[in-house]
Amino acid sequence: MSEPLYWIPTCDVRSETLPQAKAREFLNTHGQRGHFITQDDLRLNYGSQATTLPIKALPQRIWGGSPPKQGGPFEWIAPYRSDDETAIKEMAQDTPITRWILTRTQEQNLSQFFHAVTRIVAIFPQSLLWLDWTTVQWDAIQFLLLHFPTLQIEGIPDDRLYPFKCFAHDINRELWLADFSTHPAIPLLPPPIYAIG
Amino acid sequence: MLPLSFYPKSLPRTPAPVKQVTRIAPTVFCKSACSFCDFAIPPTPGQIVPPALSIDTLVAYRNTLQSSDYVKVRGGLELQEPFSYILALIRAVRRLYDGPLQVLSPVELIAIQEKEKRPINELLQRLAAEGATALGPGGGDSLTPLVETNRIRIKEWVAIQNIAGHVKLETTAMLLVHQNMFNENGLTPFIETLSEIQHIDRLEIKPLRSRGTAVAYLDPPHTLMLASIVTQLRKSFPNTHLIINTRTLTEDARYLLTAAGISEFYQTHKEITP
Repeated sequence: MSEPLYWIPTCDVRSETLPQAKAREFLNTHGQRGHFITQDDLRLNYGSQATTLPIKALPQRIWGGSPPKQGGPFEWIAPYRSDDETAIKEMAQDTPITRWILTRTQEQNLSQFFHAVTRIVAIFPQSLLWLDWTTVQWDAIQFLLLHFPTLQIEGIPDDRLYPFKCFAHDINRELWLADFSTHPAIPLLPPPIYAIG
Repeated sequence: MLPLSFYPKSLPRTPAPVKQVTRIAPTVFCKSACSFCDFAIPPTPGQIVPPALSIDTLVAYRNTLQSSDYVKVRGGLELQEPFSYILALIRAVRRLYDGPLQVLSPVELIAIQEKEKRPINELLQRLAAEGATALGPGGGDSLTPLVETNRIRIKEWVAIQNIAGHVKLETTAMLLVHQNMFNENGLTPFIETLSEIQHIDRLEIKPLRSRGTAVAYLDPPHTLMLASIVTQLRKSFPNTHLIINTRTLTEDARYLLTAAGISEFYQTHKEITP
């Protein structure tokens, strides 16, 4: 069995009038695990949080702590641009990046996106590289997971968990429900298999 | 379980082309009610099947036919018109279109043979003489694990495709693909049967659209399952045209399937029905 996959249910509470109540409800429906994008410290016993911070017009999230601090570990959410390679290398050295959530632009066809992932994997530790579910899309995600056995997927929606679970089972990777808190990850059992015919 | 060793290791710069296919269905009625079919309507008991498509109406589809890359003429098992109707239909299509033309299938030929008492060989020669270039794969669906339709015996289906090859018609086959079809034998029985045909020119891979049909318990295949099957078929049939409908596919899937060995994609340009 290779490295497990993590399902990190993520909830953006920035536009909620009662962010803390929303976060509690989210934790209750997700086994007390969840990662929250927030403006203020949510003061919760469970879950992890990140706050957004625009740097050079790229959406980035300062992650962890309570509240998350400037200069602290952060998540970087961006597509790949070959011009950025040097900057990425420098940043990877100077700043504690928790993960790079790689997004895909509409102009990147699968062949180009595959090339982008191949480049990043060469310069950036694979274990920190996550693919954004919404922009990368399911067909590409399956193919890339087969190719790069330590990639992780960000933003898997609740209603797509079942096919994801089946696929994780097919590629022989365990699936764990987790967040970035100190609470342990919870194993998600593979789906039952019924004999047909 | 997904056979992991069969997935594309690299990607093409562009996917294979998408061809435009026009289908002419003289009637939408068919009594065989195949469990996987989401096109034909079985007539209710006592229902009088309306006359087939009027050949004169084809002229109205001149532009459609001329902008098609491939045309298929279906028959169905409720066609009341004689074989001469099909020949007239082919002649009419040929006046408007000069590309590849696939006509009928082994299942329909057997029905015509029984009704008109003419040998299959002669029927196929007439189709070719009027301008058909290929015989359809109908009945080949019986080769798919768990979807046997018993419309035709496999040996008959193979024999008729072989006769088609002798009269210089393209031979065609199909494979319905669903998520539950992999057992320890995998594709081996399918490949073995298909190898009994001297040369299979065109093989269509059909992702099962099981929703709303009698086989809804079989899941449609996911893209890597399709890619894996295409890879294996490409290995067994290096010179066969492998095709697939784009209807259920994303653009990403077209890259993956091209890498796996698909020769071309198609989409339905127009369905001409009465």
